[in-house]
Amino acid sequence: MTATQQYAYELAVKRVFPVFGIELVDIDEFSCCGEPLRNVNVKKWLVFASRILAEASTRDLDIVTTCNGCYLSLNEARRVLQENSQIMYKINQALRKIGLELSSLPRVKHVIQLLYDDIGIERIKGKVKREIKIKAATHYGCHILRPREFAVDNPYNPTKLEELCNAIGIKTEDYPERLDCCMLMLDHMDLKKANLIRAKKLKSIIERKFDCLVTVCPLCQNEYETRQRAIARLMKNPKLRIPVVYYVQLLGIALGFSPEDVGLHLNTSPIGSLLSKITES
Amino acid sequence: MALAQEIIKEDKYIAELEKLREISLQIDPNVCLQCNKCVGSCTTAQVYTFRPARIMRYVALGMISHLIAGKEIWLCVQCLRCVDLCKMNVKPAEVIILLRNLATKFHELPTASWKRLIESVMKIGSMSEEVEQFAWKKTPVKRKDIGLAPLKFLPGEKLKMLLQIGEEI
Ligand code: SF4
Ligand code: SF4
Repeated sequence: MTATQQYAYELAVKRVFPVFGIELVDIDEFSCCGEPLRNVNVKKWLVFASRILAEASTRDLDIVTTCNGCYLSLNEARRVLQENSQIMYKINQALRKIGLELSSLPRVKHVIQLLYDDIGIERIKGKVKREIKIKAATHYGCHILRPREFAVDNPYNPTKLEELCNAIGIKTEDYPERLDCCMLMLDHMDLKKANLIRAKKLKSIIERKFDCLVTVCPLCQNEYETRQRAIARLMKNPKLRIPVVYYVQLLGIALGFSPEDVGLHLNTSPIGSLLSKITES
Repeated sequence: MALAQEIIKEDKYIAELEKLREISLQIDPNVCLQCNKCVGSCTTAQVYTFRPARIMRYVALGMISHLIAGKEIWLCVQCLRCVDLCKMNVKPAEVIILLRNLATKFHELPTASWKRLIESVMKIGSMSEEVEQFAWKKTPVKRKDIGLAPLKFLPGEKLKMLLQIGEEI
C-alpha cells in the first residue's frame, strides 16, 4: 500500500491486517493510479497505472487498494494490457526507459476482498474481543460493483459488507439509497446539486435511525464526511451529525484496538455520539 | 458554414475517436439499439436532462463536435450502471470518457475545479499535497504527529518522463 491523505484509513488498515498475518509493504514510488487522467487522456492514464503495476511486479508483490477508484483503474489497465499484446509491448518499451518492466501482472485486490474472500468471516469472528453494538448504514460505492467482470460482489444485491459488519456485532439494514453513487465527479461541475443528492441519502440515514454510515472507499468517505457541513446548510438542518467511518476502523476496535489506534479521532465527521455508544457496549 | 466543411470538421473528430478506441477495447456506439436501458439506470439522468443513449446516437451518426464543445458530457458521474445494463456492450460511460479526451484536446476543461484536479496530478503525481488534516474537533494533525511516514511524491523528472511516454504510445 502507499501513504495517503486519509490518515484515519491508513492507520486503521496498518493496524488491522497484521492481526491476520498479512504483511503490508509501503512503496514510496507509488503515485496516483492515474484515474483522474482517464478523463483527459486515456494514454496518460494507462502509463500511470501500468507503472504502478510494474513497481509492484518488480518487487514480486500483489496490490491491495484501499480505494474503489484505484481498484478499478488498476484492474482496467491490467485488462487492456492483457487483451492487447501490441499495447503491452509499447508500454513495456516505454517503461524500460525508466528502468521498469512488466514481466508479470500483479493481482489487484480491494480491502473488502482481502477481508471477505481471503481472511473470511469465521476468522474475523474468532478474533473479536469486543462486539460493536450499533446499527450502521452501509455504503459500497460504484467502482467495486461495476463493471461486472471486476465486481467484488453481486452488483445489484451485494451483501459482503453487511456480513463483515454483522461478524463484529454491528446490525445492518437495507435502505433505498444503499447503492447510490457518492456523486464525486459531479462536484467539479455543480457542487450544490451533488450535495443535494448526498443530502437525500443522509436524510434517509437519519430517518431510519442508523448510528453511522460505514464506507470502504476514501473518496466516498470524503464526500459524506468533509462535505457534511455544507450539506447540513443545504438541508437547513444545522444539527445534522452523522458519523461516517471506515469499516476497517470499526473492525480494529472490535479486535481490541483503541479508537485512537484506528484513527477515529481523525475523522472529520462528528463521531462523538458513535464513540460513546461503542465504549458503552 | 457549408455542409462540406461541417463534414470535414466532424471527420477530424471521428478519426481521433477511432485512434483512442485502440486503448478502450470493445466499445461500439454504432450497435446502440436506442433501447434506453442505460437512461433508466443512469444516476445523472435522474437530475439532469442528460441522456447517455442520445449521446451514443450522436456518436454513431458521427456528430461529435457539439458534444465535445458542450458541458453535458462532463455531467456523467461514471457510476457505470449503463455499462452493466447495456446488452449491446456499447459501454456508454467509456464512450463518454473518450469524448472528454477529445474535448480536452480541442477545447478547455469545463471548470476551474476540473483544471485544478488535473493540474495537480500532472504536477505532483497525486491529487493533493500533504496537508494538515483537521479532526472532527478541528484540531490540526500532521502525519508525523501520529506516527505515519511523510508523504513522498514522485520526483519531478520521473513524472515528466511518464507524461511524455503517455504522448508517445
Ligand atoms: S447504449 Fe446500450 S442500453 Fe443504451 S440505448 Fe444503446 S443499446 Fe440501449
Ligand atoms: S456512468 Fe454516466 S452515463 Fe453511465 S449511468 Fe452512470 S452517470 Fe449515467
